[in-house]
Amino acid sequence: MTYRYVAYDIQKNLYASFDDADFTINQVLFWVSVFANKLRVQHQLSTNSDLFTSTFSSVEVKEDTKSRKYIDLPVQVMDLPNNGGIIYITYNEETCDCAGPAFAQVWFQGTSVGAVQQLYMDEYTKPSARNPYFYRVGHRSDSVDVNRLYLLGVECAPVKTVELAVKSSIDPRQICDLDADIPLPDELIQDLITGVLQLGKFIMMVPEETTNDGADDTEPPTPSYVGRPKLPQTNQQQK
Amino acid sequence: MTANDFVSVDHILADVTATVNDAEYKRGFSKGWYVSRIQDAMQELSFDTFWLKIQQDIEIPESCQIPMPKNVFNVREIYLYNGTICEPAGSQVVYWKRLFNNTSGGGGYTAKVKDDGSNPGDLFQPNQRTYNRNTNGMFGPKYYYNVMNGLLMLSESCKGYANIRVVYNGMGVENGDMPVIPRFFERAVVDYVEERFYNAMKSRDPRTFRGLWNDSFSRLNDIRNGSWNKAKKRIKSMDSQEKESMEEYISSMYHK
Repeated sequence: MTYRYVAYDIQKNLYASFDDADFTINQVLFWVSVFANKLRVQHQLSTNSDLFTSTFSSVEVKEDTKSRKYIDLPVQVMDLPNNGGIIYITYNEETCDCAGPAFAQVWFQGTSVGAVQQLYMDEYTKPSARNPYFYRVGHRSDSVDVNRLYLLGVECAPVKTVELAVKSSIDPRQICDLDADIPLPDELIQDLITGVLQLGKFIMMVPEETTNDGADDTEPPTPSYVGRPKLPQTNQQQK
Repeated sequence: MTANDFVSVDHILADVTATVNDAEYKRGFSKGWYVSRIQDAMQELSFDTFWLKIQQDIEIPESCQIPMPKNVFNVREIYLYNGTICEPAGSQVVYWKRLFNNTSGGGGYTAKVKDDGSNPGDLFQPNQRTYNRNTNGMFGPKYYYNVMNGLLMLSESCKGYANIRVVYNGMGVENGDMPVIPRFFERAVVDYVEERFYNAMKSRDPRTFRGLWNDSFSRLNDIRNGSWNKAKKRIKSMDSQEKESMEEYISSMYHK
């Protein structure tokens, strides 16, 4: 099912309810991607399939100012429990690159920044070039927005690139082609349309409730208020 | 015994991670954690069954002291011999002497009962000079040892030989090395690791994992059908030829 079918269908249905509203197709597409991302995570958690898997065969390894090795995630990744959105990261011990003999392929295991210290306490879990780990820094590093995976155990190995597979989310900025397929199973399209219509209707209701039309809708005080204790006033009112 | 009688660590991991639903190592435990538990299992089996023997052959040190190697416990046999390690000649058994202590090294030592007539002022138990080192025949040189805090101490007479062979019990491989798992221990090791996994998960989600841990605990420790007890019985019921072959294989690690 393509974006064009779904987006124009939703736009038409919204116009049926709010005929004087201005729904641009870009706005609808944004809502589609927002709701599709939610459905993708729900579907992933219920099926654990590889439908939303994306692979990247050569992701460059960089070093930050403290010589810690990391990679920038090429896409936004689903935030699943225990870094489940990262399926695998590998490098080749022989070539220190993505490619190389199969026997030398080394997998990075997921961990969290807080658990790293414990890994160093056991000979078998200690990070090394043959037993490397990754942890995610997904918000900021030194006040700079980042979306990184830091690599542990390869500090002394000259790793240049790694191979990566992730469960990716849809980036609304990258929807350029209306005739591209929506990356969702067909059976979820109905949920998508229903969800987006509800979202659209909700958004249309909100301005209506907050519009100041000048009318005083408050009811006059009735005798029933007389016996009630006074409610505390706000600071502004007290001034 | 051939190499086929050992199972690989990956073989155990494939079984365990499928059972505990952690094939991707994403439930909070790394692959190293599982391997560490496998090593724990082998270590515990070593303590319980004494299945693994490790042999050490060295020249007699001048200090009459030998620090016990890592990864061993329980001295089983000690021999002194001349010739070479490959061709021992004229071997002599070394016996244990109670309270023998030469932690400072050399020939001097302390003990409650000594062979040089020490402790003469003791009213109740004076040492008798009934024999000494200069006497030949049955009261000749004496070969004995004692162990204190991992230090194997030998009597001075032991220096009359060139080499010493000590046979210990081993604890499996050294921590950090890949565990060696005999095939007949496979079920015990698998059940042990599963039990450890559910035990760890129990504190994270008691409602889900307490029942699973209970099952795994029974599977491992049941008196009649538990895999741990079966493993103990198996090591006792193995035929001698098979067992000796396996021991030689493992103990050869010190000659590589």
